[in-house]
Amino acid sequence: MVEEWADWTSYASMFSVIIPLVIFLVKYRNLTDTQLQIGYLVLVTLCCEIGIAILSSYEINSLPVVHLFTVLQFALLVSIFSTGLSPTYSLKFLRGLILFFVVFAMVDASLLNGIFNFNSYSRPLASFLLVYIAIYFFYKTLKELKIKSLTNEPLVWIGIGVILYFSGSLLIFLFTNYVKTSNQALFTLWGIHAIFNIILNITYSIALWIRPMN
Amino acid sequence: MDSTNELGLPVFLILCGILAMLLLAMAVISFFMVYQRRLFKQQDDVQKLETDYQRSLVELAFETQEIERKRIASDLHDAVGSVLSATKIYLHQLDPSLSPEYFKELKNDSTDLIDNAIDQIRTISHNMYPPNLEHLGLIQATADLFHRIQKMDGLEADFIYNVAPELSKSQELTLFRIFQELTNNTLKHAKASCIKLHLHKGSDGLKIKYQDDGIGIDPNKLNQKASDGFGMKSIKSRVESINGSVQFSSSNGKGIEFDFFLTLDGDKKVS
Repeated sequence: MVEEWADWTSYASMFSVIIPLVIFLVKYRNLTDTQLQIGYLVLVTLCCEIGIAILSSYEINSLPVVHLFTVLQFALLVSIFSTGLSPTYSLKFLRGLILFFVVFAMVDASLLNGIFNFNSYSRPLASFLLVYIAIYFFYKTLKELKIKSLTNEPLVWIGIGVILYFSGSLLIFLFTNYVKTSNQALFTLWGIHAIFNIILNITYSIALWIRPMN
Repeated sequence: MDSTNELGLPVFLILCGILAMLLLAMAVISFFMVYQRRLFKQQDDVQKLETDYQRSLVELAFETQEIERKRIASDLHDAVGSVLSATKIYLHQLDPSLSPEYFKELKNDSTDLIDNAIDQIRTISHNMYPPNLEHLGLIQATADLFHRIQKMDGLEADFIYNVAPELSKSQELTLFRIFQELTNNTLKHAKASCIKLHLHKGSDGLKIKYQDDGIGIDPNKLNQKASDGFGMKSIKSRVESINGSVQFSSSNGKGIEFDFFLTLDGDKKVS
């Protein structure tokens, strides 16, 4: 039963990326720079989902794609938040942060976990950093009081999605290699992860749909 | 081999941890949304108060201007106008056929009336902008004001100061206007027999105390607009515009007292 439920949620999670993709393609010409970056993130997510699905269908280990996706997702999300973080965190600093994470992910893939195991070091690190960035963005927004209508600001929705997804999934990322000997445990945890992923894609969709006020 | 049974407790703990993290995340997001809304509401309330205050200041400025114009118009009409009208009547009567004595009498009376008109205009002009203030400063202008009050209205009017403070032109003018208005109000409403003005320059700033021994005023009526002068609001805003503060005390039958304090730039110690 757990397996069925996990399968159902996984498929739903995979197809949930289509919603923000459609919105992105329909509204492409009218999107702001931030929304365009969100759209590119959605495209990267879709490509990785397709890659994982294809490899899984041929019963090939798809975890290398997860390693790649972790790096791309981190880089794009930091880039999306960069306008909201300046001037406290300069573009130079954020580029340095991305570079550091890329190196760390490569070390995790080559030396620590290995590319065919789940990246239980780099993915939780990405989670910590992204949740911190999102919370700091919220703190800065409260301090400056420049954004009056929160629901019309794409970065707010991305922040909500990031905090919910990465906070909820953090323990899954940390302990997945620990519980991989139990299929039921894996299906349970990754079924829950699929739900968080759906929530994240919904926030991407809202962020792409809304028209930000100047 | 599936080690489900061995992983039951750890998985349960992980699930509890996930739930806790999720609840924490939702709490952070909710706090952010609610607090941001509250901050904006506070900001809007403060802005509204500031706008209302600015509007009341503008209204007060217009009203003060109108009161001043009315006073000038009244002074010109009642004093100068009537005198010049009388002068015209006398001049109309002048005729070469009149006896030399009567002619001379009419001429002298006309001249006296014109002198009177000149004096009235000079008084009105001094009230509008005393030349002493421009040339001799606040102390001399205030001393002249109190001297005039003592001479014309028969009140005991004392002006005491320790040293002439170094003030800018706008500060001197503002203070003089306040003194003028306070004395006018006392003369018109207070039925006082004595007015005192103390000006003391200290190391921390300039202290000014204005007192009269008149009928006083109900403290509840302080912020109401005076019908022909400034209310407390106007005096307060004028004092604040020159970096000062004012406190007022009075009660019915016990006179009034105004205490002003001005912070002076680059105070020199009083020797």
